Amino acid sequence: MAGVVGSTYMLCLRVLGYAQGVAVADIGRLRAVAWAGFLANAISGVMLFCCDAVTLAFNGTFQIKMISIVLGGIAVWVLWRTVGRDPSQEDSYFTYGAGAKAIAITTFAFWTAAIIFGRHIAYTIDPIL
Amino acid sequence: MNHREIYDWIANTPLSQYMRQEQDVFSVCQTIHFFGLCLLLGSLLVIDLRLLGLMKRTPVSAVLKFVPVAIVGFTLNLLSGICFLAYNAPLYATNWMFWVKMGLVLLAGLNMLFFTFVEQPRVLNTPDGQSFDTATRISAVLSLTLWVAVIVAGRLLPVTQGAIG
Repeated sequence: MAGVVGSTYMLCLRVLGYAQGVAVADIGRLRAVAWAGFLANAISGVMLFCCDAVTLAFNGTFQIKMISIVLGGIAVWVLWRTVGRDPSQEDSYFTYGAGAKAIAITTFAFWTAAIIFGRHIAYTIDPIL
Repeated sequence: MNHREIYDWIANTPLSQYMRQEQDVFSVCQTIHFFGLCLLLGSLLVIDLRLLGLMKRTPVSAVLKFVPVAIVGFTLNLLSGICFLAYNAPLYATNWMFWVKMGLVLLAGLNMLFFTFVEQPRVLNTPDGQSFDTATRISAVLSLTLWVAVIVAGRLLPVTQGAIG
């Protein structure tokens, strides 16, 4: 999880103007880490879901988490489509426009929501963990 | 002061009493802990992979701008971690995996200090395009390995809770 969300956060921060001098194309090298993390999460997530599928499927917090992940995935795809065009991604000091920054904030928000609601699931099933 | 007195002292602190009265705060602290580790690992991935020779478009001085992000992530983890300990100190102190995790954090911290005070001046003086020396690359590998191990140990805490180790 930290691999997926952590690398996405770093991309968002760079697009928002932090760490000028870091080329977005270089942060793109982390996509392999993000995909590996996502696959590990997906596999372990399916296994955990199978342990208590009925309870989780009808759990509102779980549903919001899944929606956040799907929207976070779409947002990061849109972000890469926007900032991944040459030559901007090769330029270490490129400053992105308001549109790209808005998508970065949206991406950051969806993945943060996934963390918040993912962590909260346990508390909606058991009163005290 | 024996360990029982230390537990009692922690349990009587205002933070411990607050953590036990407000159950929701524990959940909030866990979310902050996860958020902090995402900031920490994400920034270290960028920094350490650059030190290992990837991301050569980016000057190493630029990549080090992510160090404050790592510090923010670590601080969030430290503060939320103190809250967990205040909530139920004996639960953590009697779990051997907690001490493994703390040992790994200590090693990762020492490695970070080594990089900051010994390797970083050399790294910043290395001409663009030239690879960094072996000690720097070992430090980068250790950083990633140790922090991933810290995350794994943290996730295993509930599994080893109550186990004799």
